[in-house]
Amino acid sequence: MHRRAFAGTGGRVVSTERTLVVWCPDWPITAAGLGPEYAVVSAGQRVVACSPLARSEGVRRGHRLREAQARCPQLLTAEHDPAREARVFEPIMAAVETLSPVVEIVRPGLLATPTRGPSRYFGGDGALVQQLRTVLAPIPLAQEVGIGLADGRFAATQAARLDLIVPSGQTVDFLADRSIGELDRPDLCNLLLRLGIRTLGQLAALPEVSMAGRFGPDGVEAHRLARGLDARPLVARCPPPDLAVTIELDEPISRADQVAFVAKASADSLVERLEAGALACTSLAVELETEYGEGHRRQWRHDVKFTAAAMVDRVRWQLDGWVGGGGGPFASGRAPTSGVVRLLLEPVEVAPDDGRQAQLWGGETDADRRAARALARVQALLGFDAVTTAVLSGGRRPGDRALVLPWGESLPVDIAGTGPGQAPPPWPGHHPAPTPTAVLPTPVPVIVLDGGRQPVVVTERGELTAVPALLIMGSRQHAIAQWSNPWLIDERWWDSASHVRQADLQLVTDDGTAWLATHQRGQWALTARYD
Amino acid sequence: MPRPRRVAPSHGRGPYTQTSVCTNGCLCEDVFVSVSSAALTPAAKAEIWTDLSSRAGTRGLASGRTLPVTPLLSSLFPDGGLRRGAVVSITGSLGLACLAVAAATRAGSWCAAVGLPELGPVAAAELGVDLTRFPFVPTPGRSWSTVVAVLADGCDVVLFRPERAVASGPDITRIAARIRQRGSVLVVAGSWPGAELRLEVERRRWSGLGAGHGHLATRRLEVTVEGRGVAARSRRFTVPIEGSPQDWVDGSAGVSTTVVCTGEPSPAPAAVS
Repeated sequence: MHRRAFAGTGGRVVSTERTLVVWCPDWPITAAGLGPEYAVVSAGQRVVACSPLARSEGVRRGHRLREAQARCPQLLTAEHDPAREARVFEPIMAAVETLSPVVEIVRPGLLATPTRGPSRYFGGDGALVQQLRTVLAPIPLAQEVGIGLADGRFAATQAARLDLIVPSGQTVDFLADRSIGELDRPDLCNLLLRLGIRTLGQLAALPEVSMAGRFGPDGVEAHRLARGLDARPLVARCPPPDLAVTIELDEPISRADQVAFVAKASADSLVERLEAGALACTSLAVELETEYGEGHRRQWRHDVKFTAAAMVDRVRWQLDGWVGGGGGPFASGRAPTSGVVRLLLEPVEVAPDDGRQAQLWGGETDADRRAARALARVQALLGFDAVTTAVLSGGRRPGDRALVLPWGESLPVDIAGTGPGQAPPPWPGHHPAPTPTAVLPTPVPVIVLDGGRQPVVVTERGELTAVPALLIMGSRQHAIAQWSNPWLIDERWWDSASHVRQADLQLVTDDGTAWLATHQRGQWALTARYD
Repeated sequence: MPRPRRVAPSHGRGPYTQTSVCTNGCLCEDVFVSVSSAALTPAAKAEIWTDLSSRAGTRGLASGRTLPVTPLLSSLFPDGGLRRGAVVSITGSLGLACLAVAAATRAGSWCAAVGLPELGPVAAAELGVDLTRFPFVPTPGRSWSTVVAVLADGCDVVLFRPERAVASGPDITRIAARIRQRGSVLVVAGSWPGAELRLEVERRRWSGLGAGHGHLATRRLEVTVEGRGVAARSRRFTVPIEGSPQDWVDGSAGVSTTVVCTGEPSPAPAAVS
């Protein structure tokens, strides 16, 4: 890709600062290791990113996975993993940091940096971009980056897609021809398209007052972006210093989830303080310091505002990236050698909070917040692992069909596409409904005897050797009233460590209790109870 | 069946708006919920209503005196639902306890399960519980009373199973006072001194299994209901649990899902639906 300067007919001088944006196209695909193939990265059942080959076949972001596979049968898929993307993006971030001190990550794959200082140092915008390309050249994953320079972050992102430098003052003309879909606000864009506004130039020509009245804060933001200004007016450029939260730990912690747990309480209090001042944080600086004095500071940006959960996620990604992804030729990416003792969360840029949430539906309600606070208190009492939440996933045995996670860890995206009222997709070989209500944590060994008090076993073919009549549990005996045919389960035969070969049997004793008994290697044990 | 408070009429605009979900498929800038009554069956309407209200988190359904309970069990509860500030004790069946809280979780209330390390989440989901609002605290240990009190503060329902028999004492009074003050419901899978409502499962009968064939399909629980106040007379019910939660929501399934009251007061067994 070669860069060229954009020759426009001049425009107004705007007061936004010159920003450089480095854009890695389809970063989720690159981070997942899927090279130039037909590939998509999906979150749940929706496509999040697709490779250029897949796009040429008609696959788009937002398609359901099935539709994508129908359009392109030879598609490879990978799960969306933001932590992995952040980790793999680390070398590129470190590379850009050698040229510019303040680097902001909007999301893995897109970073922005103000260029006033570096440009002057390197002797011009063109020289800066050239230097950046030289620096990024040895990194294997950074072969296809687009680098754009313009006034303001939005214009620079658009320039990065075309890989060009927009001279100062010509941003408005440059943006005038871009289509309205570049604003990335599907509802507003749909509406504007139907009203006949197809380019950003046409949007910028509308009077600002009517934008607010007709379209609300979203419309005002879009109008500002179309005119080449920053989305929010920079009111509180320097937030009051006492908003920063520092956590000093007594003992060094080296596990990311523990650091995230510690950060959660502070993130909650920071968000509460911001909300008390009716402020929303759009750019957060996270600084980690270890016992031996190694420091790592990174600035993160969010499109709407940072919630506490989003802040904790960034802390975790940063620590993961620092520990795991520090490879590459740049010394600043050296991995830490001891645990973290100090964590600083500093809101670098705040803006007046206009009450919008990141999602229209499904945001936190009052009941959700109250419950989250109560559960966090219980976690503080009993420990991080004491409160768990479950997500339905696939499996054969009753114990396998749910994934149990500690509360507060971000849930993996819909594994089985379950929501209230939705049935999980069928998993071949699982027991039919109803599932046992009580899955015993340790199976209780029992003895199953037939009428003649001889032990009953299950043959290789899955048949009982005799009619079971008596169940002996410890010192108690129960007569077996009903029983089923054994189900054979033979899992992971290729891995001798995790090979499971067992037969499951449902039986009902004379007092009406129904049990699930498992026969493995000649021994019977009760694994679950139907209550 | 406890009817949800009707806020959205079937046509027209109103002050309750704000959703871009439009079942007729048109995108409007003054967005409103438009549910055309002619086009939808009652089951679909009930589903849309529960789905919307759970997503919007309205407390309209739950801010009344009672929390909703599945229609299947509504005749067991004298108030038609779980009365706020009360303790309900359900002994003998974990499945019945899950069923009792299932409708409340679907309606937007949070329910914490304390002291149930072996409760299978899949079974809870099959009985209709919404797992996104159903956290577990499997082993509260010795500070169980503090944990229950803290959770009663934050969650509308607490499902608790005591490890050993609970005796009257300061713990019990503190928890009862907290529950009454906050308007939460404590459902105890065990016995609890001073419970307002006691459901005891005396017998359960499973059907579907034979002698070496079939699989467990349905269970019939014989439940005795006793309580204080309105529920002072003890009555016996037979509760069949079969099918899926969708059949229980709208009550449109046939005779097999009715709860038959087989005990006093009437001498002849009466069918209560």
